[in-house]
Amino acid sequence: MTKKIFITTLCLITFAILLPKHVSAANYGMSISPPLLRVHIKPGKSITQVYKIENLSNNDKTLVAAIVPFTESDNFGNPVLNPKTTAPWLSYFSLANSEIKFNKPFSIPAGSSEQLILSLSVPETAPLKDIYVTLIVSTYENSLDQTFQGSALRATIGSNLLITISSQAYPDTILRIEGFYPAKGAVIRIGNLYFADSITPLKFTATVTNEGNFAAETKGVFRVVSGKNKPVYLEGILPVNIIAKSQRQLLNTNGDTFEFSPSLGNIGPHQLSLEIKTDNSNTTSTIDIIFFPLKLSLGLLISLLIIISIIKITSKTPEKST
Amino acid sequence: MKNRHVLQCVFALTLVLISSFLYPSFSFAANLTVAKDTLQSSRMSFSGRVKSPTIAGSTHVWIYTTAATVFTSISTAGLKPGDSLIIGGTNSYTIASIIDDDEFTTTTVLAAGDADDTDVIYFKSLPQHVITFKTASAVPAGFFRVLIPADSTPATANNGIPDITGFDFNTTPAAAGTNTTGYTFSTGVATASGGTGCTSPANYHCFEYHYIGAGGIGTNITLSIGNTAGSANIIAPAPSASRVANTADAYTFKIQNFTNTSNPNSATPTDDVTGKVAVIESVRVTATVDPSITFKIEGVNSGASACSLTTDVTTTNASVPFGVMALDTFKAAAQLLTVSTNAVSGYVVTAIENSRLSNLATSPSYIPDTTCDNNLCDFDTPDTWATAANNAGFGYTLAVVANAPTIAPTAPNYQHFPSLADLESPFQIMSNTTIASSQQAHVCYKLSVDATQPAGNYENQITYTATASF
Repeated sequence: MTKKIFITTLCLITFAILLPKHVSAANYGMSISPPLLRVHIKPGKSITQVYKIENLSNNDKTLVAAIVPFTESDNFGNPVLNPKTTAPWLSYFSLANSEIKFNKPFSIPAGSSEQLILSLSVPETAPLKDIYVTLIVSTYENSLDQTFQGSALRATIGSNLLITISSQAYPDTILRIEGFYPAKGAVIRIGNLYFADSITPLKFTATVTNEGNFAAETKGVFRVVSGKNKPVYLEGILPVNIIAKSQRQLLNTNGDTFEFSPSLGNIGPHQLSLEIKTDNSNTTSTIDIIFFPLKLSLGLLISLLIIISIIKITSKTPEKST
Repeated sequence: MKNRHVLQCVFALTLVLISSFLYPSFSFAANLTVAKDTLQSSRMSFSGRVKSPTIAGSTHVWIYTTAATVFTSISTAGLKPGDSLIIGGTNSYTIASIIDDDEFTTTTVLAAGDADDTDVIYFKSLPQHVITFKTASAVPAGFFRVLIPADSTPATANNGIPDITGFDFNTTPAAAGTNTTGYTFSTGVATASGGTGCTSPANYHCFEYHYIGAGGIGTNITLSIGNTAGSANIIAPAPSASRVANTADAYTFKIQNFTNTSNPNSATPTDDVTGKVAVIESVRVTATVDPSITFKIEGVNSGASACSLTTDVTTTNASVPFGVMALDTFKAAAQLLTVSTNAVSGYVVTAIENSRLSNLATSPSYIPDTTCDNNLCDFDTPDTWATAANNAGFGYTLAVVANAPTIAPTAPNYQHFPSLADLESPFQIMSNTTIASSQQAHVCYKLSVDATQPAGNYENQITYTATASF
């Protein structure tokens, strides 16, 4: 009995030591809505957008709001932010709140929310181009503990704004699909022709480059067509924004790379295409693949060799003399 | 004389009685009252067509938005996820999601022959009809007949496909009456429009409910067509050709009460009534959830296990207080990051420090950012860092805690934070390419100082920024 109690206690102590413990006192939790705003605006016009900032922490937070411009993004649509960056058109933006201004601290009580009323006024003389900014809301500390040794944390949450200043509703977009290839190892390539096994799923990667001066959206389909021009597979492209002069990876609607699982019937030449349609342009990239039953043929060949070997061995067995 | 008058009166009375037997008086049909045909669902059926680029092997279906002949359903407004559809004429598919007015997805891929341009798409709405009314007169041992509007072509009116001018008979619908005082019903008889005994009035399906009993005046009667399971029901109409969007199509039904031996095709009913029944598209209830991104930072106690380390200090959401350092010895700390977003492109969390851990109180001195064991790691290249001696510095790593975010660097590899002072760009430490629900990761800090480090308090500021991707 004593032994059981000892083991149980030991287990409980072990669990208590090993399990991670999170401090439940002060924490940081912030939410911003909407996380993305896409705006088409003509010079001389203004718009207002309300942002809801929610303090999910269990204590009051002092925050500061700011606008940070960006011009670059990675292949997944994440802006490359530099808080020190500035731009002359930042003056287009202002907060219409009576109490809250950019770069001035404001408080949100624990469990409460605050609205930031963002105003964008584009002057008549504004150049016709895209401007990209992130509205950031950061924690604010103005006290410094001289005895502190370590890292102080600043948490920021941001919402991206992709703004097209244009006198046209649908300014010209120039998209180009690049790197539309099957994953390495699954295919044999001869020139521009690919050969693949007819029962092995194939994954495809591709990127799209926006060579234009305005952001565009990647709406389209991944299509597989047989040699008889009969569509055999269709999958949507995840609609995402691609900012001017940038590149993005194309993904399917589940956020994964494109995948085609051929069946036994998919033998022979097939054409795979990625098609993106914007409001005023189309772009397509195609690859040709010949599916053939490689694995099946190898299986049959091996089976045949085994059978032939068995027959040969059997036929070589000497007959017993009578 | 008096007897003569009495005899004359008796004779006259006898004549009246005899004549009343020989020439019965006419009875005029009265109205059955409070008559209703309550549908289990007033939902219309769907009769539409597949449109290109729908293809076999895909779950994505496009529909025509222009009507043609009997294909009058030109919007997905009448459909909802979970509906069972006939596509291509034979095979059944379940709707997975409605994309927009002319697109939806199915839970299984379309078979060959079901995805060709103009292939049919049907949804059969199979509501039970419950017909209620009050009798006007007592008709002993008679029968009620309910007439439901049907397509004018008998073959079309009973082919198991939704019609646009009436209810489809659907082969074998059930009919039943609920017994009540004066009315004990036998099983109802259903006859498709144009069938035996169901030719007049034309273009109506007939449902007869025979009963025994004396009948009654003002008795509440309940009759039904079909059942609540929809297994023996007539099919509700698809939108009529003249229908205006979002308005109901109304149809006239009739209820008649006949005496027992009447031929309902030719006889005049004792009582009858005419009513209206209407069908309309289902109302798809939708709710909008505002897009948002949520970012949380929580401290982790000392002694906790994170990133294959046991932490030495307790952190908060706003600080990582390493405190007093022993020479050539690691001190570890951790924080928990949590991100959720319903933005379709996902999110990213970046990190950057304002500068190295600095002591600005006296003469400027710094604890270096780690270059790891092999002097190979920097702010965007990780490497192993297991030895404190001769590898002094400040660095970090990450480990997934929940719901599989993409993270970098990952333990046991470390790197140091990019520095604003050195004009380096923020580094992406945590991300996801689609919607994310409570994705969690530990960010673990490690610090080591050597004997050459001047005494003093060193600090810096790390900024974590969470933004939705676009």
